[in-house]
Amino acid sequence: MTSDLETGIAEALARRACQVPDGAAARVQQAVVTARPGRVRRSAVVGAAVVLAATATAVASTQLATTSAAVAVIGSHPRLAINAVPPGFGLASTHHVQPLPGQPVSAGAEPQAAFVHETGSSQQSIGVVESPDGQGWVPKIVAFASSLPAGVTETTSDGRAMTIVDLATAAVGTGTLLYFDVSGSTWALVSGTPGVTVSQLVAVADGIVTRA
Amino acid sequence: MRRRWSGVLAVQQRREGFDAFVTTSADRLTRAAYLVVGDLAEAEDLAQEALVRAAARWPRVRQMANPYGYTRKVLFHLALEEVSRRHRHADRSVLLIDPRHDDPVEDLAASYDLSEAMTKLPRGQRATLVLRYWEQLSEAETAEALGCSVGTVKSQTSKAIVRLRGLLADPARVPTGT
Repeated sequence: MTSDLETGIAEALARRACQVPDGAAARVQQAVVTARPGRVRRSAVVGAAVVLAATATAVASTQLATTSAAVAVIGSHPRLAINAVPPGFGLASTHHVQPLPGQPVSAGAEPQAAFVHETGSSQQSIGVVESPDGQGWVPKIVAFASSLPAGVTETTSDGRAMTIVDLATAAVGTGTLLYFDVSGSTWALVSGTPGVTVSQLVAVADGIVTRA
Repeated sequence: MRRRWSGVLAVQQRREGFDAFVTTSADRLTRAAYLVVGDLAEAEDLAQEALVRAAARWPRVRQMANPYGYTRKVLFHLALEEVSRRHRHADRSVLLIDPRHDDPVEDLAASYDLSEAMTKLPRGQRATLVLRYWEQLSEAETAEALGCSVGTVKSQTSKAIVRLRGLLADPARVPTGT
């Protein structure tokens, strides 16, 4: 009896395992081999979003003057030029991000560029990251945000559709982020710590363009 | 502990053989994860996470007698963590629940009840069954993969089988206990 049941268990498991499409392993393989964690565990998405929004808690910054030239260039699919930041914000030369207590951080969760504004003892920051379509963790944020209708609003700025996620309203953290499709194949995400206004995030987003 | 993206990039420089390892192991790891968590996207995430962790230690892992075994151990640890988290946040079992029966022609007569019954098992017992009867590991190997004793594997397997027998005999009378 036991052997029959054990055989049945093995057969049931084997049948179920065969339901995994071949493409699944290919996706895993591509994400890992290219060393760009294209799929961030959902549990880490909240952490990543919150950590991005909380960059100010750990930014080791060196203020640089903002010029009319690109403030920063990030990404590679294609490269994105960040041409504008709100008054008072400057590019942080380093942007080490520490996880918040109880919040997991996944590789790739750091912003590719961070801008800080220090006023007395307080500090606000804005982080920017890009992902090629279907890769990187921005798509995960997109999927994650879709499950938070309470905290999500849609807007259009300069002809560009953007999705804004208020993490506090969604009860998953603090700060605000927005994301948008830059070029039809590349997503950009701009996040801000508490105190950073939506208009400031949109101003940064409006200044992001593709660069050959 | 902070995990740095730059650290992952640095690993690229010294991960000889890792790509080949991924090529040969990604499929099985993904399927194993799927059997435990019952969700394809989650299984892919777990397999990727396990491989990324292996990459971070690849110079050491590749010297091991069984790099796949190490990565599988990481995977099951992550999978059980994830199942545990899900149980904390939602009182539902996810193992083997797949509303998308891609092959309706398949004869599910014998396996359906068994698959259904397996969803009622505690997570530790489910993981044990996957390792014992799908990965075909010995009790000692299963214990190593789960980080527990052989005695625990024996008891988990025994309890799982007893419970499955009960469920198959009379689904309404679900034996209790873990």
